[in-house]
Amino acid sequence: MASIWTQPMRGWPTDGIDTETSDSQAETERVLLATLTTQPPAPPKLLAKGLHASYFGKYLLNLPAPYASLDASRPWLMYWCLHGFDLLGVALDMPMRQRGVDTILSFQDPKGGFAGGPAPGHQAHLLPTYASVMALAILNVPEAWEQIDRKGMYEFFMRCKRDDGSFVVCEGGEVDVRGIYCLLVCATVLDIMTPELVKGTDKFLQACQTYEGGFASAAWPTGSLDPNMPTAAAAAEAHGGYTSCALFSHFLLRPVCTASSTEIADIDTHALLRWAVMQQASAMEGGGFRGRTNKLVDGCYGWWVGGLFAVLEGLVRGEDKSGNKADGSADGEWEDEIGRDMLFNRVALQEYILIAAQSSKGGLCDKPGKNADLYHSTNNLSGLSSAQHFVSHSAKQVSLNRESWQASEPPRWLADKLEASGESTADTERRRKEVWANALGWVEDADAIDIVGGEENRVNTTNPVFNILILRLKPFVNYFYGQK
Amino acid sequence: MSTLLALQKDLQQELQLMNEFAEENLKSYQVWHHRLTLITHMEPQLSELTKEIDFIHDSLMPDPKNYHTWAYLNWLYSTFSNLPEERGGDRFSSQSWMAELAWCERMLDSNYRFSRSRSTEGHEWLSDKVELLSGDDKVDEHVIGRGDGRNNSAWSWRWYLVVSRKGAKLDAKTELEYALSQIRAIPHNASAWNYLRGIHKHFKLPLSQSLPAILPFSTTPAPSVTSSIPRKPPPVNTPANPDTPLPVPFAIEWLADCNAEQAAAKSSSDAYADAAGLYHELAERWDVMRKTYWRFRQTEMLRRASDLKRAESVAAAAQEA
Repeated sequence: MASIWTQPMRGWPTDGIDTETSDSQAETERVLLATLTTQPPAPPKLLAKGLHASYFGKYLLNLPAPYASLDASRPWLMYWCLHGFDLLGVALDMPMRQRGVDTILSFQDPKGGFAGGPAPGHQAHLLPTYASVMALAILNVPEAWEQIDRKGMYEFFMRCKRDDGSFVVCEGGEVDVRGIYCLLVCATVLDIMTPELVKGTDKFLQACQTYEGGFASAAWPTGSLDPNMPTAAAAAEAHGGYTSCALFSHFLLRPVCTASSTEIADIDTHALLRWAVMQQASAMEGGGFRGRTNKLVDGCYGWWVGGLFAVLEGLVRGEDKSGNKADGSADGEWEDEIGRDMLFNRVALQEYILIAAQSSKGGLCDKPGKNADLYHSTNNLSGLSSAQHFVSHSAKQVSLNRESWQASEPPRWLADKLEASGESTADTERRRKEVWANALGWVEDADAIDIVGGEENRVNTTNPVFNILILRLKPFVNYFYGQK
Repeated sequence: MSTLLALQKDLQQELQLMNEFAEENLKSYQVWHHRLTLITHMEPQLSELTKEIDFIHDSLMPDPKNYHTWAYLNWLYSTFSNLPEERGGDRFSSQSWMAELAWCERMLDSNYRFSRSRSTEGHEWLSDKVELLSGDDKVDEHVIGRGDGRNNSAWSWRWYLVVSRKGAKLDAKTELEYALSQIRAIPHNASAWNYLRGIHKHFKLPLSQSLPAILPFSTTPAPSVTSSIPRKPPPVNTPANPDTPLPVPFAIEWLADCNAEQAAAKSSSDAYADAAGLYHELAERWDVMRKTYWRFRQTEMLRRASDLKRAESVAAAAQEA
């Protein structure tokens, strides 16, 4: 794997034509080169864990004035701090966790779902619902998990649903794939995934894929009557954040389709893979990721784009093999050729985060010269985690999970609803088992760990797709599915 | 919003207020979404939509890659070209679409400068008119935006206008030539290469069709690239730009993909091996950052080549028997 220090430090050629894009690119290269030249190639820079932990600690309890504009994103601020602590291996004591739980539960909308702040004044919204649910998983207080109003949340989800399979982010709000992702994660972990809820969603996601291979924020109907033309078209250009949400959403829908033996509306995984690898910036830009073609490198895409590969590797390699080798078991032919390298440059991404994205005062940022913030801090650390740890979705693990499934029932109100819709209890259980078995199908190959700068720089393993630690996901999901 | 609608407040006035907000909050989801809700309720006619489109175009001048703004522009055209008959049907004329495409081409023209022009009546600078300046620098202070062939947002908008919208009448040849002319102007422009690739794929045109235009960019300083596809020496005047370092990695990738395409079409294990060799060069020399990806592509080619060879030898053995 090629470290940035072994590669030519060349700026992206301007071909003699200067435009706004090449001007800002050149400026960014200048800034990054200035930072790179302050660093010796060896030893690699340290991850300032103590500084970053204090940064999260400071912000968890007391936010400075500029964060007032994020008053409607309080669950996100908590999720970023808590997941940041988790990645760095900082444990919270019980009174602190209880305080966190009380705060998050105060964001629950009386009609279901979570809002950006306490009611009244804030209404349920899909994005803070994800952040709240993940924060509760991280806080790991099972007594609090019972307080999640799953029935209310399900009804909120159904109120957001539109005919084309998409969802608005809140009542009267906009449609985009961030909301879909947040909803599907919650429906998966809380055992409220139903065919009714996700009808048409796979097709909507399919239409969001652009000609470049990445995904846009949404897709609008084209009104086309030509059967050879798609009925919806991407609403904008391919973008790292939306691509992450769209691919993970697609992935979360797969077990629902498998369980009912229906074909999922497919996406072009090879085009997506090409788009994703092409977002990795050059050595002179430090080897981080950009979020769109011809835009600038930014630390936050370490997770949005770098985090795609755990899923992509499985999809691309899995489909190239007739025998499901997506689990990376040692008998795969490609194994001999590629070993446990990742399809992106995992070393270069780590170098970017260590060298270019650490703020000297603690916290992580977009690029040198920018201020740290919670969003960039956690996204950089999640990106770092996915570059250090080799985690794959294991067909073997999924099948072991299926075997260990213990008969259980969904919540009563949901069981009644499904029965009324004509679904047999056997079909319900098959789907729940499949969704559960896949959610917990992620395994880390401990031998394939690769930490730039050595053990001291290790962060904990984040779970692909969900973005909380693997060890946090399991007890949480098992609780709701009645599994051990 | 519901308060506004209940009050029957003058939505036009609210939209005006939003103009001022938008200038300060261009990167906010809510501002654009509020605008979207307002205009939906206004049931606008083409003239009002034209004003709104001018406003969007103007907003893009200082911030030409603003995702929300482009998504709103897309939504506006998608929605008001798809209204059901009972809501008045399609609002746009073919002239509207032509004007939008012309604007998009100016956005992608790296030599173009957008400027405000003086109103005939007063001394105000009109915000809804942009036109080409004759000279380059003489009225620089009036330049409010520059065309940029690397603006990927504008490329994606072009795709919508000529490929994915309802009623798009695509001339694939024009699009190929457009993308190639942009590549000739800026050979390392990833946006133009992605667009060219997209057109080929969408219309199932073989990559080899554009190969003659691309070969000059795959020229290497040392004779390291091997391929069974015959490569003519590049014409003396291309690539147009003497500042372009060669080869352009995108061109090597194109050549490799052409080999892979021909290998699949002709079941040729040699062509697979050629493709593998080119991916290998990308991995080791021209695009080392993506080494593992190119090696993945290389491995795939070698596997297909050996599968073919195995099948051939099985067939030969069967024939002997």
